[in-house]
Amino acid sequence: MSTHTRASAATGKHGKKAPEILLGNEAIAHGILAGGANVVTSYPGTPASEVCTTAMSLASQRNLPVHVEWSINEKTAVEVAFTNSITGRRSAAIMKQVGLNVASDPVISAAYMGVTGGLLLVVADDPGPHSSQTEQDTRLFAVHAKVPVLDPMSPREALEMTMQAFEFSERYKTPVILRPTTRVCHARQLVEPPDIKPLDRRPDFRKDPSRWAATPGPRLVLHRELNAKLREIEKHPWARPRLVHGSGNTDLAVVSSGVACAYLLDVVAELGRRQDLSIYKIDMPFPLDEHALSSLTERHSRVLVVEETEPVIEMRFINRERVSGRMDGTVPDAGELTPDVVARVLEEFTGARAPERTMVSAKQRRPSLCAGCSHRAAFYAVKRALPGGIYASDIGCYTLGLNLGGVDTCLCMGAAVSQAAGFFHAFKDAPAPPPIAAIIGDSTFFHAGIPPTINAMVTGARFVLVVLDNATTAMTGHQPTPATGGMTNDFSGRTLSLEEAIAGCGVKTIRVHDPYDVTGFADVVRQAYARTETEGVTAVIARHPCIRDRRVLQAQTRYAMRITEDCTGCGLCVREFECPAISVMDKRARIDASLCVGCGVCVQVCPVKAIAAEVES
Amino acid sequence: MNPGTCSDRQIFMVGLGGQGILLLARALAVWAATTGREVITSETHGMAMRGGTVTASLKVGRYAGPLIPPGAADVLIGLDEQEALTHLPMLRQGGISVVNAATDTGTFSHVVDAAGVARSLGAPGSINMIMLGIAAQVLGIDRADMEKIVEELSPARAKRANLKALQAGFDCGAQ
Repeated sequence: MSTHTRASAATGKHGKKAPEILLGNEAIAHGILAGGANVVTSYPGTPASEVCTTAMSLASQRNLPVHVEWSINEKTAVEVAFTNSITGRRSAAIMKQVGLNVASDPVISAAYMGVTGGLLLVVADDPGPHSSQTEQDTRLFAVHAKVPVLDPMSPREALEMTMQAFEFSERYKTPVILRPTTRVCHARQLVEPPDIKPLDRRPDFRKDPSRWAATPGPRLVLHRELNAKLREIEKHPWARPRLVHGSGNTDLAVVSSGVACAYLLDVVAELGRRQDLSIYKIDMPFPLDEHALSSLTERHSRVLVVEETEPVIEMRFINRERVSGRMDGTVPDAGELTPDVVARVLEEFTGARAPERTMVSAKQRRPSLCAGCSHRAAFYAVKRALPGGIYASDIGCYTLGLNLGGVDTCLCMGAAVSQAAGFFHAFKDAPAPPPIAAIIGDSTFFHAGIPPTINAMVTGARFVLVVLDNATTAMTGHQPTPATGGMTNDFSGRTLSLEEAIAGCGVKTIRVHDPYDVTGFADVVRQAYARTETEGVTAVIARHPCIRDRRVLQAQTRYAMRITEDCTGCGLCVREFECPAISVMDKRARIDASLCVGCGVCVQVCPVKAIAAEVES
Repeated sequence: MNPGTCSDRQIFMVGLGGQGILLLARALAVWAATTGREVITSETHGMAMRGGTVTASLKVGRYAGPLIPPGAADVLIGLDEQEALTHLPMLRQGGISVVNAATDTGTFSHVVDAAGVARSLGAPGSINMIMLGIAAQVLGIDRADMEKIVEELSPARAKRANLKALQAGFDCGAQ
């Protein structure tokens, strides 16, 4: 994957490797392999995806004796990694924060059981949110799951913590969570990549049913054991506030963690407030040494807590009289803590004036499906085939189908299928029930679409399942799917087609069609819908590879597009089809040649046949 | 930007998903690192990369966090005129803006029709490398140094095209 270009002038000293500019996620991947992980598992999700991508390419480039896999979902990823760690070997499972929701069952249970080999869970949070459904705070989840959580403020610190996490995990026999946020994952910094020496550990599984297969009785014993471990971990230096700025004898103090701490340091430097403020960082927000934390209110007359996204540290102060933060409204209760927000909060807390800032308008250009994306054609065809329908959809690039009215719902991974069933049961006795479609991507279907498809089949729901098959996990940077193969660093394992998977759920009618043929695809959807009356769930696979792969574009016919004199400027092509290459100006459609990829699909959309296409030589 | 005497510097970059702003940002970061100073950057990944607003920040010097506060950027590099306009408040007073735009309306300190240059090269997707060449010239970065960095960072199939666009950028820079 990426070339790690050396900074020639900044050569390392004493035979150490020269620093490289690494993405936070790349640094974490280096740390995982240098920390001796034998098994690395992940399901892609922004902002975490590049960790496993990097680990996989390092493992295959250097031929490391490590198993790296893109698992089918986060629950499976954690279970595979955890099990390797109860044989005394080291493992890492990587996911985004909502992926932890999917994996919550094994994570909470694994905390009770503990591990014999180091287990690191990398869970990336997305305050903002930039690319997620929620702003949930994994540190709060860690409290609930009783798992120690580390909160790095930079790629460099993320690398250090990752390296140390495995030994920490083994010392206390517990899984450990590393919680980077988007601004750590997608920051680049000069770091010294550690040597990667795979740990040569034979698997050693000591059968102990009262632990590894514990029934409720022994679980109580394990719970007490876990509580004792956590009390022990509270004595670790990571559990205490660490002074990172100031004397510690100032009137005012700020307690912080993660990237918010980095912004604080920058803001304080910019304001020239170097002397009158002490800043403490918490490396491990859970478990926390509550007494060390609370003693800050004795040493300082007022304490501000700045953390993302929930008041995980703030709520641990035994007495909050002198404490400001999210709980008293000093810090906003939602949204990312950007440097300007941190500066404003600090201004309010200290009564000083932050420098005047002109706010940048929040007006951001909305993202859109790519010109030539087959999902657009599929959405357009489904709308034509099932007018007035309800289109339950899901998480991926194709969520952008909402721009053209092809997505009515998007709840969480796999919910397109269960929501379609939910709509069916809601409307089945209503007069004139609407046609219902579940529209879901290939990777998402494998991730969480299979159980709800079986559920719908066996509970009498009736709808068309449209699987958008572009043969990749496109949104997160083109990871493989079970149907494409290549899920591991050594390319072991077979593939499983969507047809096989859908048929295995009990679906009888499974049609495959290229949505670039809009009319034909709409016919196929119409026919499949007609059969739901007798068959319950029927399926249509919209098969066309992702055109962001330039080989795909090179392999398909390219048309030179032209708007003819017949154009009435009705704007249907923009409103209903929403291709970024088409716009309407002065009552006439225009095609921007620099954006158009010549797929030719729009020809089928124009009601007055005013879009002409000629095959390019 | 003489490495020996240069003060801390913050460069803000903005464009649209698909324009290749991340490679531009990365090349500047690698260059900054060769000056022997601390470097921290921030990038946009994920859904915005599908044609939405994409920003990148590069901070050179003693910074801890990766984001640039509004009104603090020393340099703004805009691959898209509208986006550059929206994000102009990121620039500090007296800061330099280098923007790809068809016509110079007097809003920015340096305006180049990089899209036009890209079209004339027959490579409409090379605006990022042309703008890198222009920005590098404005920032006083040595041409050979930047060529070497782009060569190292580019995937094999894009190496030649990227270098050609970079050179075109250097040639039309500093207007």
